[in-house]
Amino acid sequence: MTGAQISLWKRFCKSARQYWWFYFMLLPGLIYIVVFRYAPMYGITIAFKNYSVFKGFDASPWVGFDNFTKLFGRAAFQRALYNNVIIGVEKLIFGFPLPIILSLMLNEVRKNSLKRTIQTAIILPNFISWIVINGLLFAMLGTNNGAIVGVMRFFGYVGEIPNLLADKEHFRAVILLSYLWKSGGYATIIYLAAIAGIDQSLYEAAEIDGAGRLQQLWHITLSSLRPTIVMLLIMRVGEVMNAGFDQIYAISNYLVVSVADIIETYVYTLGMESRKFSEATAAGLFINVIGLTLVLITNHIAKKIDPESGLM
Amino acid sequence: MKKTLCMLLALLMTLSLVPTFATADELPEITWMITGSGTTSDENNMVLQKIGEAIGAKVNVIQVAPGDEDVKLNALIAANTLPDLFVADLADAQQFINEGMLCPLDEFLSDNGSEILAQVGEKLPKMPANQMDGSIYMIPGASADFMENLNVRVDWLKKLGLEMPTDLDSLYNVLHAFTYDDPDGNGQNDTVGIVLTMAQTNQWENLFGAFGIPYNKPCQLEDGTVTSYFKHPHFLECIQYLRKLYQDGVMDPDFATMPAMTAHEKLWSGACGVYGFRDVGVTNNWYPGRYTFECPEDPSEIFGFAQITGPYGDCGSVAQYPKLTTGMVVASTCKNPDAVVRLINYLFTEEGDNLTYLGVEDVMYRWIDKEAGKYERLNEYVDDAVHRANGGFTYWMNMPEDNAQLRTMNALTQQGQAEQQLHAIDYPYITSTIEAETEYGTLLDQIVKEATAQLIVTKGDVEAEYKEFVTRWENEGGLEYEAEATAAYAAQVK
Repeated sequence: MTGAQISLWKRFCKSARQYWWFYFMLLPGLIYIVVFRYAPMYGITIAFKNYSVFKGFDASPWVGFDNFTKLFGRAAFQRALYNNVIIGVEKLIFGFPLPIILSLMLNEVRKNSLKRTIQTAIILPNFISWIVINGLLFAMLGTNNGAIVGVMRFFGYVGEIPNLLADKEHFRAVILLSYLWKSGGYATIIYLAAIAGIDQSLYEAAEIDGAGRLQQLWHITLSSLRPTIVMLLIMRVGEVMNAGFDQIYAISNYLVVSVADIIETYVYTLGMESRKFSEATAAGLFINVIGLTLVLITNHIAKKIDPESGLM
Repeated sequence: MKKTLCMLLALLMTLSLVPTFATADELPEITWMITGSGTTSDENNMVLQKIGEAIGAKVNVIQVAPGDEDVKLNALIAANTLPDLFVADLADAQQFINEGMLCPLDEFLSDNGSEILAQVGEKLPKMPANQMDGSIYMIPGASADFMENLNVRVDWLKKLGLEMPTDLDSLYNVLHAFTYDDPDGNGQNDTVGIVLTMAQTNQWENLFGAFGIPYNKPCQLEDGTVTSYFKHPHFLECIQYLRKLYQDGVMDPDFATMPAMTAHEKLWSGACGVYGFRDVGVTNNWYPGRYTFECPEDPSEIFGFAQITGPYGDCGSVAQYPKLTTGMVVASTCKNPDAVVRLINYLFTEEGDNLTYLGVEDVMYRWIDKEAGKYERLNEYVDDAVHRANGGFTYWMNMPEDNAQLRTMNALTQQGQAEQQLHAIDYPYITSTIEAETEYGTLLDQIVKEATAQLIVTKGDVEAEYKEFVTRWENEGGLEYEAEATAAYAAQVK
């Protein structure tokens, strides 16, 4: 151990003795993370094995990168990867700024009761499961008995009405819009909390200096939000390959599978329907490695631009 | 005070262990995974209790929605918590046997399987799964499966002055009239000619059959190649016919997204005029309990069966063969295989067969004329949902050849099955395992389903898209499947 390390260790021991009850309270969380987050990572080994449930992890033979070779050779995997990137990037591009915009707009609402009502209305969809949302979409968009079709027919429209849930051309838009509706509002909580923490005297000073509402928003609100935005962006970029299994599994069907099948749904097909646990793990590991790489790259870029930003 | 509370809590916790000790000496427990019939039965219902009493074991049932069996089983496999008893096909069974996942049943059969041996004893050694290492692993039902009928609302035909359709043109005319001519006479546009769903194979068999295609089965091409029905030379013609039905609005447009139960409900609610499904459900088991419109006592006043002949003279649904490649298997992790074999054996007995099909005698039903197969449901069990929630029909596995369903089937249903057997679409029934099917089967099947749905609705070039799907199917393991299946079938018929 170097001198610096010894000093760090000593400081930790001292702090642990002094604040032992805080460390004690930390213990359940640590145990949870170790048991449920790190220990299962041992399962990653089956991506490199010809895994048999009955032989177990250890007795299953190693096959190197065979599972990855097989996986990348499958046209369905290539299609899932392509869809995954498209849907993931779409969600990032449209889904990331939405809560920021909503937060800024909400912050400008001066009437508290109205602000709270809007906030509740946009946060609530987050608590509805994708299965229920799928039912709602079916009830609204179905060409047979759908509400929208009913309304259009009621007003005398006799033309063709596309079935958006079974139409390849529009299906990704349905995925994106339902995603924005469900999750757009929830992320505003963090931004509104960050906005609430901004020193009000900055606004007062800016007002005295003659800054308008837009200038205050740009130079004070958005500037103060920058570290929060960067941190959430880094975390969001890491999830870009998680294109939303719950949503797509619930809403997908044979007519749109070619534009909707993502890696996670493909992993489900491989693992749960075809019993190819090794290949499914390989696919899962692949997207997670990409996610980690993206986090590291984004973090690096963020720190280059602003050394105060970034996660680590 | 604290001390007293602690003592009290400790005492309560100790007492909670008592029932555990008490049950330890009670009945052995077994788990049984079955496919649900739309209504989930209450746990520990009357029928299950009776089964438990008969076999001397507590039976815990895992009921799975139709179509979800594989996913559920694979999840249980991944968790290493296999049910003791479940149904497997040959490809799965062979893999399970190689992995040591299945229990050899020979010694248990000789001790507890008298009915099994009496009814399917000769069949057991002929099953490929039972030829792998000389042990018996798979127990089949004694009877073949039912044929799929094309059920037509004859009351609607009568009302609209139409004849029973016999070919594709007359079927189209009937479907058109059923959709647009208000066949139920309620003045509303609330009916549709035919309901099809990708969630089930039953609905499609007779339509594909009219083109000589064994839907969802292998077919043999002129050069002897055994391949998927997807590559049948008339496949695209059938798709063109289905496209016409779709485009003209005479089939339900939600066919690709509709769950199986929703499709059934369209029949039960009187919204659909033609429905492909075994008449055993349509005119027997569901009739009249499941229907929400007024049903006369005689189902022939409502339903009849169509045999649709296609351009090449083909007609019917997929042929049914004696079960050699599918059956009940017992997990090697099962702690009470003797009790499981007792359960299977019980399902082969008349008592077990009647109980699982009709329910508890004199409580849920009573015989009017047992010899003639006439019975009546009692009290609240007249309602199908109540009957099934209490275990009626739920655990029935169609095991004995002379089973309760056959004995109690009404005349129309018997007639429908008899007629349909005259119109069976034959296919190469392969009784050995195809490795490529185990390896690629699910993925290939998904390509075919995707292709079928997509080709019916596409606005693009159907032939070009079909060719693309065929190429994809071939490249994803289809060619390997073809080579193996062709060789296996050639060896089998030699």
